[in-house]
Amino acid sequence: MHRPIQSISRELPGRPERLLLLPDQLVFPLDARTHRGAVQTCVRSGETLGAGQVIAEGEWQTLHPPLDGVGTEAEANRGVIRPSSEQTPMAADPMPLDDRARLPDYLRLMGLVGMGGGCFPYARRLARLLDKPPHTLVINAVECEPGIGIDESLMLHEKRFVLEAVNTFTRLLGMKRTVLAVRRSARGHLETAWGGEAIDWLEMSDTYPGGAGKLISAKLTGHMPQPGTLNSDLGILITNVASLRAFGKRLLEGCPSVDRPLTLLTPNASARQLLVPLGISAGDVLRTCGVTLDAERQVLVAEGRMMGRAVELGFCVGKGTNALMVLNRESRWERPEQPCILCGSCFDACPLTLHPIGMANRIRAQRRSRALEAQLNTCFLCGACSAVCPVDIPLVQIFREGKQWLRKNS
Amino acid sequence: MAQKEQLKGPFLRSGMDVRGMMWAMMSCLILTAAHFSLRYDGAYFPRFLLVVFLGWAMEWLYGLLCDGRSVWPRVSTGVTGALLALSVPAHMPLLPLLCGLLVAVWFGKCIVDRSALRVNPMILGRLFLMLVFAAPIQEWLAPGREISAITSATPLGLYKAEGITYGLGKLITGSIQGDWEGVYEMLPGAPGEVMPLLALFFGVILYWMGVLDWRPGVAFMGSFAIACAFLKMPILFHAAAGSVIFTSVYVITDPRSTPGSKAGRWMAGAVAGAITAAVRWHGYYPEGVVFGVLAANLLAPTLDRLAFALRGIFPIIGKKFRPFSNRWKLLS
Repeated sequence: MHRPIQSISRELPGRPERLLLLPDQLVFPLDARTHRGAVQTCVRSGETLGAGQVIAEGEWQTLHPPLDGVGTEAEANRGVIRPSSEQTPMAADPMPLDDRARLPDYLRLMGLVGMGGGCFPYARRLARLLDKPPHTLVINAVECEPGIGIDESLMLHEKRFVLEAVNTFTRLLGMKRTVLAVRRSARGHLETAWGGEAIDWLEMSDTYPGGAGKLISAKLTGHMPQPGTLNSDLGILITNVASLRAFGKRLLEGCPSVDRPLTLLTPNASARQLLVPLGISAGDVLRTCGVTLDAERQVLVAEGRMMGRAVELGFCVGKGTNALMVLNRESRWERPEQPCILCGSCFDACPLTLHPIGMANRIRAQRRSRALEAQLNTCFLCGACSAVCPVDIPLVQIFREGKQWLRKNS
Repeated sequence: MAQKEQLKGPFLRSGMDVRGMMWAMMSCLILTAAHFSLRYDGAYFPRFLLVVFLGWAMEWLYGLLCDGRSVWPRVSTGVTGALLALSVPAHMPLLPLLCGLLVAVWFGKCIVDRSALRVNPMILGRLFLMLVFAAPIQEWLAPGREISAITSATPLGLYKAEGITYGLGKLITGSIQGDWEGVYEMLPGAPGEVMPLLALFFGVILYWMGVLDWRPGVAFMGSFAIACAFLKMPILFHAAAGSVIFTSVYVITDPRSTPGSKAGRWMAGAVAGAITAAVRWHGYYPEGVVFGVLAANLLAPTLDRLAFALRGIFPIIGKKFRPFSNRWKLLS
């Protein structure tokens, strides 16, 4: 029997704590892959920069430092800023938006991206929607990655910003319906904060990957979107809570996207919700929070247990980093792959009823077919199949490579 | 640092590993053998263990002879040996049984298992015995045992010879004894099949532990029942007699030899069930599971390919999509 991965949180997430520290440096990756498009630095070496000033820009987004500092020469696809010893707080002037046509540019200038992990620039997303605006806005507060509680924390404690962003989106795009998608177990305490708002509630399962956009739109429409269909094609705009909070903060306080709300999870301690300045290293975050990493027995994971990856202490917090987790090493993670026993666990685990091991075998043999393309395009790399594989086949890594292989050969 | 780079997500694993799955199955088979030994024949259990250990020894020997190295035998080979020992007569002479075991382990586990062909090793061994040692595999009587009847028969043999159905209650609880009209002394069949309730109970346990998939077993039973009804055979008697339930729990659910896809498993189970019923209806042997399972095994790669290709034509099967079934709701 397949047992789905549960994402029920046992405790209510606390208020997000602002991480106050002065790091040695802030690092911003400038590669096109991270930003889903080329970005060019506009900082000269030695130039003095203010917090929130544009340091790099591209067609669809911009980057801003969270602290005052001095720019250094951009090197190896990354920009480095040395923060000054004296910091001046950013001015909190509202920057309201009333013109729909200005929306993509507004989002580009504030550097808003999908903060659920995809990091897709909102400016690019919204520019496509201006001609045919969606009718439904979905606030995706379904945190299905086990252990993460930051979205729920923002919904409870930063409601002001989220609500402002929701109202602005619905007003400018003329949306008819706002839906709040939540985990079944989280609905109770979110209702205390959001019960009075004119929104529809969409209860998703407490199992992973209940918060996937495809599953939300499937539950909303009653039909699974066909491969290649975007949610926006169905008239649905699904937005992450952290992105809405960043947008709301820009509207109410004029602050660009310069911090990242994230969950810090450590063994034998409750999860902490943090507001971390962008560009700061994971080592600095751990040090400030009094966490030590035993590299022999523990591993640092960014962006969740299921879809995340193991990182070094030098890893810099980016706009898609929704969690930092210090996990005790398990021997199973390092076990070598064994031949498939065709147990069918991956078939049971796949939330989209795909054929994971069939896809993996065909990708490895480079046997391209219509069925493989359809399934690979549908797969969103949730990793549920890898998690249940009794012989440790790295299915999700194979699919990632398969997607690249398909793209290269298309 | 190099070690850290090898770490691959996801960093949360659920379910059993393959060794655990095999040991769980092995434990159920050992308990089944112990049950037979306690109820019918005290000498059976040591014999059962001997077959299992000889199966492991054969795999070790194969590794030594063919690969030139001593390889620790797999738990799954023990499962193959246990299944074979439980599906042939309890008093079958040891020499033919070991020949069947040799075929099951060397050909089924060591050669076929490494190829693209998917055949259950136990079925291969049993098929060999049916073809080469046709008499000992149907000899249900213990050598030297005194009987007061003319001959002996299992419930299925009695049905085949006389068209008589044995009592359902006795079949389910494994209380097979006495004689029929002084002509046939009634004997329990193979040790694995004498108590269907026990097999069913272990099936539920193994399913709950995540070892078995329910689909091929249910498809097997379902199609067997439908075929029995179509051929005007007593459904409940046929389901309880012989190794239908034993097969639906332990054999047709073997992951290595059945299709991996859900649709493929349904189809494989259905094929095996229908052929089993057809062989019982009009075949030479009273039992037909070997032929049914063999046909399903040989079809497995085709069924998997078919199921995969259908996803290209119908990317999402089913108009109404329900991502979370009721079972998931209950669990959460």
